[in-house]
Amino acid sequence: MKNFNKILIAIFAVSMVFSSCKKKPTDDIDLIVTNDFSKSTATFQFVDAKTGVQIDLDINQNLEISISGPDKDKIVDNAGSSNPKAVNGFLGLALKEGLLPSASNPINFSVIAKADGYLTTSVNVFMHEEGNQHIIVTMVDINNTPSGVSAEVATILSVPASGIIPTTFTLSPAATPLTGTTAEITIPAGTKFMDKNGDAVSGNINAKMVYFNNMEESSVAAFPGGLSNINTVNDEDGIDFKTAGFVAMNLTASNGKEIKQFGQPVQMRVSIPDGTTDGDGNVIQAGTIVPIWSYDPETAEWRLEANPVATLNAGKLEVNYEMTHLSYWNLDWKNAQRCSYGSTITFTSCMNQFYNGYIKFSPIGGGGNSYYPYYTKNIQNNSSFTLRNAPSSPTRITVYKNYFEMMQNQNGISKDFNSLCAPSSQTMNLSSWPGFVCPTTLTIQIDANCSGANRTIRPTCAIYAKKNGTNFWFFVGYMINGNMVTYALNQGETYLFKVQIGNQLFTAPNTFTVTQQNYFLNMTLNSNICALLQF
Amino acid sequence: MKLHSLKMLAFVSIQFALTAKISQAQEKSSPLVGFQVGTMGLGFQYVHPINSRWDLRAAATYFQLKHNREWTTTTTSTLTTSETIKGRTGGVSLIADYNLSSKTPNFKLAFGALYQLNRLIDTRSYLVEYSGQNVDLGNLTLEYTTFPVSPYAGFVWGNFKTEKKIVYSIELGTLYHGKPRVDFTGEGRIAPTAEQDEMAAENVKDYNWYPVLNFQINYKLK
Repeated sequence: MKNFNKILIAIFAVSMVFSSCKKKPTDDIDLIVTNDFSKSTATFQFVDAKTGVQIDLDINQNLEISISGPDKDKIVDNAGSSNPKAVNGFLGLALKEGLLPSASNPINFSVIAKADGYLTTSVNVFMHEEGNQHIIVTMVDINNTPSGVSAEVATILSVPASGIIPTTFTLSPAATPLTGTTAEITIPAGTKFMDKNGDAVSGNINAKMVYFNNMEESSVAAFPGGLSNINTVNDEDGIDFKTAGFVAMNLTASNGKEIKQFGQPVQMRVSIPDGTTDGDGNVIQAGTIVPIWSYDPETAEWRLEANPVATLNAGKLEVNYEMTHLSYWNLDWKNAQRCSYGSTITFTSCMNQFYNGYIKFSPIGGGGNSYYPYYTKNIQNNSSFTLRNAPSSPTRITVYKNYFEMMQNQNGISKDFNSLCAPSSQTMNLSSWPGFVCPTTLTIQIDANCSGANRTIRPTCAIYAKKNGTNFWFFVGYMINGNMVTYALNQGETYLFKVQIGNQLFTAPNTFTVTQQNYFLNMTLNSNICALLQF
Repeated sequence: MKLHSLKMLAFVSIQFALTAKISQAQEKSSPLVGFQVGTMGLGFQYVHPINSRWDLRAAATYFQLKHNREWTTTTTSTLTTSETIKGRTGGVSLIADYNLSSKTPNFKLAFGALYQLNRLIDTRSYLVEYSGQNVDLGNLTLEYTTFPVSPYAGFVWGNFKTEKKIVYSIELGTLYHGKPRVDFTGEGRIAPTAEQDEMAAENVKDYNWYPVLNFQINYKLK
C-alpha cells in the first residue's frame, strides 16, 4: 500500500509537469510586415507633354531618373532602396526612415529624368508635411513637340581631336506658329568643344535645340524644371518665375560625351513674343531688362547669368547674349506680382476623407505669359492650404479629380479670385463637382502573401488604375499599411490596377468592377515584389 | 485542464488521508538552515520543526538567465533573426513539510505557497538582405508573466534522521500559476505581427504549472 501510494503520487507529479507541454508560444503566428517606413512620400508619373501617354509603359524608351538637390541623400525609393529607379514610367520616392519634414524645415530635392528621344527634364520637389504628393512630370518628345514648342536636330560632322570646329555652326528651330518666335545659337569657327572637365570633345556631334514660347499653356507646362519651387544658387528656395521664353540645348558626341563648355563665347538669340509682360506686369519694349538664368541639373539650381536688355530686330523684340557653357536657359523675372505667403484657401465639400486633387491656377483677363503651375493637394471637407508665392492679380482656381481630366479640361470646378494674396482666408466649394456623387469613398484593405513564405505583408505602395477601354493610368492613392480610402474610383465602373513598390510594378491579373464601398483583399504578390519585400 | 488538475490534487489529498497514520510520539527534528538550488534558482532556506511530523520551511531563491541565438532563412533574400531570451525565476516560499509515516522518516509531503518572480522575455530582431541592401525590420517582444502568488505541492526525500550535522535532500513538486499573461509588442516594420497577441496567449494558455526540482543542503542548528 505504501509503495503503491508512492508510485501514484509520483505519477501525479510527473503528469502535472508534462500535461502543460502542448503548443509552442510562437506556433501559428505569421510574421506580418509593413513596408511603411517613411512619413513623407512622393509618387511620379512621366508622360509625354503632347499626347499624355505614359513614357516607357508600352514601349521601351529607357527612362532613367536621378536625384539631386540639397536633400538628395535623404531620399530613397518607397521600398527603401538608395538607388531609386522608375518602372514603366512610374516612380515612388520616400523620405528616409526617422526623418520628418515641416513647413519651417522642408525637404528639397530634384528628380532628373532622361528618356530616348525626349528632352531631359527635372522637377523640384518640396516636402513640407507628412503624406504623399503625386506629381505628373511632362517630357517633350523632340520629334513630336506640344504646341508652342519647336525643336531642331542637326549633326556637326568630324570635329577634330582638338575639339575646335573649323566652320561656324548655326542652329535654330522653326518659329512657333502662334507667336512667330524662336531662338538661334551661333557657334563661331575656332570654338573649342569641351566636356565638364575641360577636356576636348571630338567626332560627330549631335546637336539638339528646343525653344519654348511663353504664351501657350502647353508650352509653359512642358518647361523642364517648371516655373515654380525654383532654387537659386543664392540660396533662394521655392521661388517662382515669370517667363519670356525657354531654350534647351544639348551637344553630345557619338561616344556619349556631353559638351558643357566652349573655348570662346557663343551667341544666343531669343525672340520674345508680342504682349509679353515683365515682372511688374508692364509690356516689355526695347530697353527692358530681361534676366537670363541657366540651370545646373546636378544641383537643380538656377543661376542668374546676365541682365541683357531687349532690342528690336525686324519688328520683333529679342535678347542677345553670349554664353561660355551649355545648359538650359530661361528668360525670367522672379516672384513677379506675387506675395510670399498668400491666402489660406479652405475647401468645403462632401468628402470626409482626403482626396488627391489637381489644382490649376489661370490668370483672369491677363493671359499672355502670366502662367501659373498646377498643384496636387490632399483635399477634403474643411481642409486648407496656404499658397506660397501667390499671385496678387485676378486668378481662377480650377480643381480636377485627376490629371487626365485636367489635361482635357474636363469636369473641373472653378472659382475666380480677385487676388490670392488677400484676404488672408478664402473658401472654395467643391460640392458641385461634375460627375461626382458624394459620398463615394472606397475603403480598401489588403493583406498580401508571398507564395511559400509564412509571412503576410500589409503593403505601403502607390496604386494606379485604368478605366476599362482607356489608355490612361491615373493615381488612385497611396496605400499605407494595407489601408487606403479613395474617391478616385466610381461605383459600377470596371478598372485594371497596378501596384508600384520600389522598382517593381505589379499588375493585377483581372479587371475589377466596383460594386461596394469596402473591400478586404487577400492577394498573392508576384515573385519579384516578394523578393523586394521578402521579410 | 483546470478540472483535471483539481482532480489530481484531490486524489493526492485523499491518498494522504488514507495513508496517514498516527505515529507514536517522537522527538521534534532540529531546525535547519541551508541552501537550495534548482528550478526556482539558488537561495537560502530555514526549516523550523513544529512537531514530530510537521516542519515549516521558508526559502528565498533567485536566478536570472539570458540566452542569445541567431539564425538565417534564405529564399530569394536572406532573413536573419537574432533572438535574446531573458528570464528570471525565484521568490519567497513558505512550505509545510509533512512526514507521512514514522516508518518513512526521510520522505515528506510538501505543501505551501510561493510568491514567485517567474518572468520570461523573448525578443527577436529581424534583418533582411536583398539586392545587397540590408533593411532593419524591427523587433518583436513576447513577455510572459504569471500571477505571483502560487500554491505548491511536492515531495522531499532526504537523510532527515541522520545524526550528522549536514542534511541533504531533494525536492520534486510543482506550483500552479494559472494561465500566463502575454504581452506582445513590436517595433518597426514588423510591428503588425504583434496584433496576433490573442493567438500568442492562446498558445500558452495550458502552461499552468511550473516544475519544482531542487537539491538542498542544510546544517542542523542544534
